[in-house]
Amino acid sequence: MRDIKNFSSEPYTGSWSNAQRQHLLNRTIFGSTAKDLKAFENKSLAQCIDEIIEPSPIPSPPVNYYESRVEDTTGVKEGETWIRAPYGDGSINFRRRQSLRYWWVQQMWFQERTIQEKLVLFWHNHFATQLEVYGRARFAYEYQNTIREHSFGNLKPFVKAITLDMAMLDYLNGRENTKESPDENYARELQELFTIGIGEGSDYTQDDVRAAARVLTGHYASKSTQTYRFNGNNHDTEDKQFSEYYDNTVISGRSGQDGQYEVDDLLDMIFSKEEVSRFMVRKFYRFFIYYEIGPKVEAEFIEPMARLFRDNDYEIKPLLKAFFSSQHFYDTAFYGAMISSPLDFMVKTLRHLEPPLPTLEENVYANYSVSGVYMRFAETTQQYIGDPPSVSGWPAYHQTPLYHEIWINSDTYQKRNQSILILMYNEIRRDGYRVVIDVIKYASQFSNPGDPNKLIDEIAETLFSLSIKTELKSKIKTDILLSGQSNDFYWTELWLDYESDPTNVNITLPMEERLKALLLYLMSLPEYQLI
Amino acid sequence: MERRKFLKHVVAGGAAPYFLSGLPLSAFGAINEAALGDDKVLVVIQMAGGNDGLNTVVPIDQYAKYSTNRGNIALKENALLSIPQSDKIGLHPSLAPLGELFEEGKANIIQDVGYPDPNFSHFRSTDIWNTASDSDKQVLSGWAGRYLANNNPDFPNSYPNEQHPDPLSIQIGSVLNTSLQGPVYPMGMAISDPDFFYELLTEEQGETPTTLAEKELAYLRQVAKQTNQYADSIKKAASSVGGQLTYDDESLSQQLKVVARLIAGGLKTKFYFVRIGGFDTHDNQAETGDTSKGEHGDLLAELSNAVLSFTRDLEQLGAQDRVLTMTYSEFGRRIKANGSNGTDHGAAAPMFLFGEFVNSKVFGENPILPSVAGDNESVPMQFDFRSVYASILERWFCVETPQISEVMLQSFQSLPLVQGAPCGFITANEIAEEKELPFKAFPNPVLDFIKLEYLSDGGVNLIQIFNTQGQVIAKPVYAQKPKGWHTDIYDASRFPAGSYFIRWQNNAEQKILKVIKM
Repeated sequence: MRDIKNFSSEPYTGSWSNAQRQHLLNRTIFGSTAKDLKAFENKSLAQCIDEIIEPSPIPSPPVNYYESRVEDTTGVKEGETWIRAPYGDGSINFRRRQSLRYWWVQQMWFQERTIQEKLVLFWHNHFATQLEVYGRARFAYEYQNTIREHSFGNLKPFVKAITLDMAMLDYLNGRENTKESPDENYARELQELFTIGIGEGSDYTQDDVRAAARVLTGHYASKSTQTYRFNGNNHDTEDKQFSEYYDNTVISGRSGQDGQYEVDDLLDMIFSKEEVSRFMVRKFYRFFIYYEIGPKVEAEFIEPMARLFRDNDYEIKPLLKAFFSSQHFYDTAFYGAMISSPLDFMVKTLRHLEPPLPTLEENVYANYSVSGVYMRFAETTQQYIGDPPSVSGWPAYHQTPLYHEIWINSDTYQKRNQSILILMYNEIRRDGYRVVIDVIKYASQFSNPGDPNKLIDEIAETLFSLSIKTELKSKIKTDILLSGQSNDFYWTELWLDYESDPTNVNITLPMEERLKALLLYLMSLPEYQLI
Repeated sequence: MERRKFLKHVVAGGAAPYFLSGLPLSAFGAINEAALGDDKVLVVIQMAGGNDGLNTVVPIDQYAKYSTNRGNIALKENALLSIPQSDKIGLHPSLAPLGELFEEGKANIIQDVGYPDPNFSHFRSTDIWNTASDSDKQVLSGWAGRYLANNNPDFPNSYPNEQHPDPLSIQIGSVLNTSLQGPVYPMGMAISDPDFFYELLTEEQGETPTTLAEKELAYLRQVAKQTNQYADSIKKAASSVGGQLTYDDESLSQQLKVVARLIAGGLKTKFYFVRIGGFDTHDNQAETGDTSKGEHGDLLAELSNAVLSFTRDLEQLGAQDRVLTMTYSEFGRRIKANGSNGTDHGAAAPMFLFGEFVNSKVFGENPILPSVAGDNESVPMQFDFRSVYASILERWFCVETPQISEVMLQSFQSLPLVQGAPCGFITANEIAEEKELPFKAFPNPVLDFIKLEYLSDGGVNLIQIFNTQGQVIAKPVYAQKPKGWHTDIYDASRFPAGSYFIRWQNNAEQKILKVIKM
């Protein structure tokens, strides 16, 4: 089992082939499709990495798709965004929350070929909040926008922005944290889950948690105006004494509006601890490389990466660059060694199969609600976007000893396969719109789809990081593409017939049926679960 | 209500059930309770590639024509296997093991099964047979799948359940046969191969993982086994079966061995589909010298050995009364052999049924062979394959007529392929001996007009005219006709000169005549 050979954090200079590019894509975007692989085909590692770690622009915001079902009484018209609108009522807020989640899935689905969306998911898991708990759709939009703005930037201002984020202020009781009744909830998680962690090297005390809570008093998110403000009156203006762990730092109390800047002093103190860099690099490691961190990985990879992170003053982008350029990352032991998360599984399937989606102009309701079907596939398999199960994020990213194996049990595994079945058999319908997968178009992107061996080889290479047995490929060729015939030519002939008469249903239907069965079979293999 | 349920209800109710369809119940003879239970099974053997019907069931009444047309793949007359059901046919010698079943009355033959306007593409024709569509129509669901969906409208929601603990159908193979595709979902479970089945039983682990990825694969496979909703019921069924007979090592035998075990283990699965491939015998079909050898002979031997072992195994397991087995292939082959010791894609071909309750005879007559067949000449259909399916639904699964039409998408001729007992029918030939069928077409040869005379027994009468490629080129009669003789005159003057087949059908009877157009 100890088959990791290279632990080095130094830049990778080995073979740069499809296998490496696929690994990079699988781990940084949602699935590596044939198109992705083609786009990277003639690019060097450095070029690929530069593309991957380039931030995408902030997307246009989610809109009112629900008008035809629930009237928006705050004046937001169909197709217009609600993000600056008044709260309205519970029913409208509920629709807006759905709007945001569906929209979020669309961001992943139609992502650029960059790490942006996976990084947003990473940070959502890291700075976890639960939309079902804090409730406000507007907060949820601001929250994920905070993440988008900072995801490639500097960790310290990022943590500050999250600390003052309305969703977080509500979720971890920051808005109730006052000098009269300090609430330690956020102050604890800030250290325990967001920056320093627990365990060795994390010897902050209960008094430190309390002192930090006092520093953070007065920051407030108003539910009525849906805005953030600092209430100087609620701020604790006394000095805050920290423990030996923080070198007995004293954060001087400030009064009036000046009180809001004590948070900067607090973050300066926290970021003076090297442990922040280690804790964060481990977090990246478990999300993007592998869940187990042995002593050798700790010493030879985590430690140098943490140093690099510190040396770059906690700039995230250089860390990502070093991370995905490292020798360790490209060790073949990691190829296909991770179980995809439900969102990864769902979105990569969408990116492979490219089901059509009506545009906002054509049918705004169907555009959102069809995306909602995909969101729900992930939700029912334990990853509900916007709602990790707790402030610790999804257990699969941190829970020993199973980690990502937690995603798969007899219920979720079956549902994953069921979702592919529903998609493949065109059973997604919303508002008169039916999603029809064009499997012929899918097959057409390969080099020689008329050759059943080549077609299966290339599809398998695209879908899986691991190779599947030749005997299995030959069996499914005969069973599925050839309907039991022993001569490959019958498939070739069908494909040639199709090329000369592409609209003849006598040809396209038998082809579609076989291609669907083939994809259904391949996407139900355990190999398809792995990235 | 299904006829069977009605019957069962009546019997169990102890009322005085004298009449069913106007016949006294006693006329049905002994009703086999086991066969009446809800556990009847159809096993379907797909012979993929297009089985050469003329070298499977040889029309020995026209041996000389057969031999001329078949050239160096013609089977020797004295090598053919004769069966008690007919002295007009001889079976391929490789079918010898099936001879036993014919002797015991556990097998039948349906001659020249096909469909109008045959398609010669494997894919298309396979789809036509599986979906039971017309040749020019596209249907996406399968005939058995529609039947299962009809009875299980909520599937797959909350399946398996108490009432349906087992897979509705099982395919041995990577993917379900299209026959089992319901209007929306596949209506069954595929067991990729017998090895997988035994792995499921023994919970055998694959190879020990040596890499990080293999560790996850092993984990996923383990969960996949648990995930298989039917794993428990399959394991339970399989483990309740004691010793099985020895089968040979060929693939079909091994597939049927699994099927026998599951049936005997009491699974309530209705359909099992298995497959034997390789019937696309464009060349090397028969060896020069000994024509009974060669690829076709090998395949038929594999088929017949498998079916015999399967039958004997079911008998010793006590499950024989529950099982009907059917063979089919997407088409037959041309009448004339090609130049490579083989045959090219054709049209109609015989089907076999096996089981305790088959009506053990040869249905239909021998195809009418030309002295010298044209290159494209095929055996025309005598029976529509969909009337075989419909008759099985009716006489084996005891499905009522309206549902049959719904499942089969239209009405088809009902054939007494299965004995009456399972569904409480009286089959025509169980009452009376066959008589010469009353259909005449003359003059022959035809110049322009053709006179069609037929004796209707009431109900729909259908007359179709086929060309030698099996295409329906005219339908002179398709109407309800009262009992008695009827005469129609048809103007065939537009037909090009050549051979034609005229098929008349009325209820369970049909007759094909060959006429020459001058």
